[in-house]
Amino acid sequence: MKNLSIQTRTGTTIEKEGLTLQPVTQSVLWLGQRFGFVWNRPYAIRVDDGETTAQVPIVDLTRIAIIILWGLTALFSLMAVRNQLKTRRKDQ
Amino acid sequence: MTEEKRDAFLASIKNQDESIRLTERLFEVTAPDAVFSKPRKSGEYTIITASEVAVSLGSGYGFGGSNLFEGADDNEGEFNAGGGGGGGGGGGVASARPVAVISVGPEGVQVQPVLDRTKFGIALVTAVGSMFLALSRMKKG
Repeated sequence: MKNLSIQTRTGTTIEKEGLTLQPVTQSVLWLGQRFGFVWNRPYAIRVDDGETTAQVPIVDLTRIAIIILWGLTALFSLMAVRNQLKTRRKDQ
Repeated sequence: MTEEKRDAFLASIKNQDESIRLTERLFEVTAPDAVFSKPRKSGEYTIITASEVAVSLGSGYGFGGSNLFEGADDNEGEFNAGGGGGGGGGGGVASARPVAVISVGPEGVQVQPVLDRTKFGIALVTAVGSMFLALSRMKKG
């Protein structure tokens, strides 16, 4: 798909407390002629102390919690369907 | 409606090119500066907030009309004035949600995740409701 792109970009460096910080973002971009969509999320922050560079990931707690809830809901629904199928087979 | 407001509505998008340019401005949202805030000093600490940003835009146009020279052969010398019209519409949605707070202090860099309680609460209520329904179905057999 030509119009869809996934980009990882780095932002302007920030110097604080003797550290150099560089934000990293990840974005999904869909650009049509009459429609466009952008989803941009923080991905990590690169920390350079002059000797070493470390990348600290940014965890989206809300998203993880919601995915776990979706997973549990799907599991329970599957269990319910399986249970119903078993009961029907027994009845037959 | 005041004159200023009327001008703003009428002058916002004049043609399709402007609409395309508006859609292309979505690229600005992909910039990291749209996600990370400017650093703010609070005591010994420097705070940067990181947020998730989502934007979508859409627009559409339609034009129609009759041919000005339609029937010109039959009625020589007569000009068919015809008629025509066009219309367009557009809309968009934007949302932002804080994801984490980055603090730079004497201990170094710390990333503290932010839990969106409203979003989580809504998801929790929906999930618990669905699980309750599934459990009651299982009990019924």
